[in-house]
Amino acid sequence: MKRLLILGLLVALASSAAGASGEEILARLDETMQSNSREVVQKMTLVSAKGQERTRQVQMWSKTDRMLVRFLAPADVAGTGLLSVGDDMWLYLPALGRVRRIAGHAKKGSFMGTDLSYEDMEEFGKTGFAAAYSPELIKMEEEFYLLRLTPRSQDRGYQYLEMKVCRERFLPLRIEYYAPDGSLAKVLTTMDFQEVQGRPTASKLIVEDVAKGSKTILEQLQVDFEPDMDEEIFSTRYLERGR
Amino acid sequence: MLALSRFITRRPLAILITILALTIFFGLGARQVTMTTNIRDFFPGDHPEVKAYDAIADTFGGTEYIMVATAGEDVFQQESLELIQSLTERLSSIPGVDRVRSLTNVEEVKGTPWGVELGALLEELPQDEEEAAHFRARVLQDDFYAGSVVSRDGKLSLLALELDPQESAVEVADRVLEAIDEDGVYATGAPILNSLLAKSMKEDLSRLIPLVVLLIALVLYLYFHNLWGVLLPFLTVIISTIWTLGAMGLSGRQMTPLNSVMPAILITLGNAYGIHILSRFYDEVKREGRGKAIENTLAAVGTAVLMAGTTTIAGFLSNCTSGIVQMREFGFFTAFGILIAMVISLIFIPAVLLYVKIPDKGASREPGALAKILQRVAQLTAASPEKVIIVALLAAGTLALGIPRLTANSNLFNFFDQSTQPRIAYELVKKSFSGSESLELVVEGDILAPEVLRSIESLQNELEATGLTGKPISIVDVLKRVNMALHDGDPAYKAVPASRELAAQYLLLLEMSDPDFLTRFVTVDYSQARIQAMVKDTSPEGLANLFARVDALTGKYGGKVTTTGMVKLLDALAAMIIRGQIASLILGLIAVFLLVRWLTDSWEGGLLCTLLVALSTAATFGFMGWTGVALDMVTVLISSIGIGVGVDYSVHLYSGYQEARRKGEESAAAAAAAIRQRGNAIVGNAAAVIGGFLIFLFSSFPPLRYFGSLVSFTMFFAAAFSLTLLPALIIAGNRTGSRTVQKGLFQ
Repeated sequence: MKRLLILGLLVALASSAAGASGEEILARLDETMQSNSREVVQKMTLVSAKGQERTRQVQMWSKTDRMLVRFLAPADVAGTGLLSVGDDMWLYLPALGRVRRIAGHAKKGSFMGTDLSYEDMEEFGKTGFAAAYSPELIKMEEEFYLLRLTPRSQDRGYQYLEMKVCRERFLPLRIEYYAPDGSLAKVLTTMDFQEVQGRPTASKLIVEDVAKGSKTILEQLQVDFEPDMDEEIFSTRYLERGR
Repeated sequence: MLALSRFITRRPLAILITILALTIFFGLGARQVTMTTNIRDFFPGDHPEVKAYDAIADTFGGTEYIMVATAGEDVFQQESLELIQSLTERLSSIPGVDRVRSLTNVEEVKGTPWGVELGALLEELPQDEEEAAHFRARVLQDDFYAGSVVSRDGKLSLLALELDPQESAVEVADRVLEAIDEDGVYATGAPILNSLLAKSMKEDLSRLIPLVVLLIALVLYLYFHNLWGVLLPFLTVIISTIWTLGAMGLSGRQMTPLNSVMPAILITLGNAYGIHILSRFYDEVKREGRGKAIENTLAAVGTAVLMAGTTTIAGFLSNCTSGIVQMREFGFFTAFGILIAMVISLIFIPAVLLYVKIPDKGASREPGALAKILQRVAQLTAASPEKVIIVALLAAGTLALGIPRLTANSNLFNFFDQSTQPRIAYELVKKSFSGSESLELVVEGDILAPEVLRSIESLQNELEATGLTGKPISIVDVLKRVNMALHDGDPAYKAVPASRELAAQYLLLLEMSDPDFLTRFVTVDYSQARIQAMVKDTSPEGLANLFARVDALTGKYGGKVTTTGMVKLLDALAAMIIRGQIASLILGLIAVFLLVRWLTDSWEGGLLCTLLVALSTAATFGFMGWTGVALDMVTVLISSIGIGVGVDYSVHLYSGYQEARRKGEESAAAAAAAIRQRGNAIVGNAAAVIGGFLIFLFSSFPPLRYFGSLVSFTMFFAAAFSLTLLPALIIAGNRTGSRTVQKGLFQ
């Protein structure tokens, strides 16, 4: 009995000495990525399974639960805007000259035609991962922690995630999304790390949809974590102005 | 032949053991043979039509469909809708089914009070009569749905299952057939037919082959009246069939509807060589010891067996020029089987004969009715060869006039009788919907440009105006719907978006709702769009007509258009059948001519025998033209059998004529003697072959029935011409020949 106690103690000591728990790691990761507001210029390249490409460039402003996206390129969609406030979404098509509301369940769908869903997207820097997943530390390497994230609610759409967290910057290096049937659905990889306004950030993300064979490359061309923006931009009135 | 008989008499046991060992070896290989009915397997992998077909599947998703129809009084009734919903869910979950499009899940571009979204046409099942009636009215007046997911009279609904191009369509079809067990639910489409075809063909053959075997056994028994006389020719064909199937299995080949007739062919044709050898041996053994009797037998009939065998092999090998993979394989492996049957007859049968008990009485028979008829034929031919020639040529000529009417048909639907379940489902879908096979057009260009969209629109309109397809669907229809929905449902806006920006922004909007929705209409880079239309008439004429119209229409369209789809493959296959047939006919005739020239050592013999077999083949094709029987994947085989086997009779007769000439008879008497002496064997052999092939009349597949009767028809002609036209030609030819000589002498 005594021996067992000592053994237990040793184990506990060892694990604490090795570093943080899954919860702590995930909390630090969310903290690193979350920002109250930001302004980003992003290039999105969609690559189909056959290798055909389509590139779009957008400018995004976000603050708490509000987001405004404005398409910059290609020319035929330039000026198209997307506003999301809470669960509501509006779209402005300049060629039509009108703002239209999009159904609420669009949030479950693809984020602007990419291989990421809105929910996937929002976990990066907005809602964070800890709110939706309970983490478990399954491995520790010199460079990274390996976390297994299990959804807190049934409707999250994944069975679990496996995330490699960079030990130095507390940013995700690679996330594997597993479908409800246990098969690998998507793989997200981050690269080109930078320091912006004192915050580490990955300026390139690649998301591969394993089942479809398609791929999305997201490149941050500009990022500002302390943008100077008017609250007014998160309104349909502003959306309709087109610029 | 002498060396061969010495070898056999010295080492009979070694021969028997070797053959047994090889049979076991090939028998194990034969177990690996599987059956395929997939149309694509008929093409070489690098065929341009297959490449085009695969390319569109790669870019836009599957183009192979399984159609499931539900029939009832009114599909909008609660129960019917529940059935459709349950089928939709059940079928969607089948591995290999990419998408199911049905009344209960079809997308609708909805103009909502505040915008537009892609949603389900039917979000919830109607709760009462009123809701059902409202839903019914909404669907039936919309030509996007009426005629595609619901028949225009509302009595049938259609579930279109889009298949994963990576999966075997036939396996998916098996799973689909397993998943539906309700009454009034029908499945059709090429994969379903392929699956049913593979299954019923196996059943059919396992019924037919025993019948063929039984018939041949009966013929053999009637001929020899003893056990070994039945057993030995029989073992020969069994061994050759096992070796052939084994060779197919070991080289990874598959059975197809086309070569499924091969075992029956081998059994029917392969035993003739054994009969030849046995009947001579029984004659010889009355006078000599066994060893000597074998030597004499092989010396006497060995060459005849070689003659019959090599021409038959040449006939089958002539299929190897075909562009159709399965034709080449059929030709090659059947020739291989015949070769084995010939070799086994020459080696195995004599080796066994050294051991078995010899019956006292041989095959000695009284001259019967047949001999009397032959005697009469001989007299008639010798007396007035010109009359015989005129009558025979008139008969063959009249039949041959039907050749221009000959058609080719590669449609698998023809394998099923009108009254069978798969055919009923096929006709049902064809009648109430546009059809179950799709025509796919891939247009290239700057798709979003209004002028390009408008030319796609007019291409579609003109295609629909031909009346040969259902309503074509493309990105244009999607854009028109969004345009209207975003203009508060104003029908004036059910048109191509006015600017490229508008089109691009509409698509962006749809993508946000469901990025996968667009992938089947347009490529990610908007450089290619797909137009899909269901084809109403998949008969060869219907397809030829359709593609002629489509070619004219696509020629008018500014940019590049690729036409493909399963129907295009069917059409290409029909063309290949005809082309392959012509090439193999010519090649077969040349090969037969050279062989007969060599075997009879006579130019006259080579020419006459080839002419005869060409005539009987022409008569058969003409007969097909007159009766409207199409050349399809099975009936296409008749000419190679007709040539290779049919020529045996004329070679037989001609060598009888030569034998009589060597004995000093003049030509007319020699020809008459040949009819009398060889007629018996010719009639006997032809009767056995015709009997064997007539068994195919018991098949449940129309093409196999046609095949059986047509081969019988050719054999009848070949045998009849050999006994009448050939001797008449010999006699007439020699008369004119000698007259010319005389004229020359007197000048």
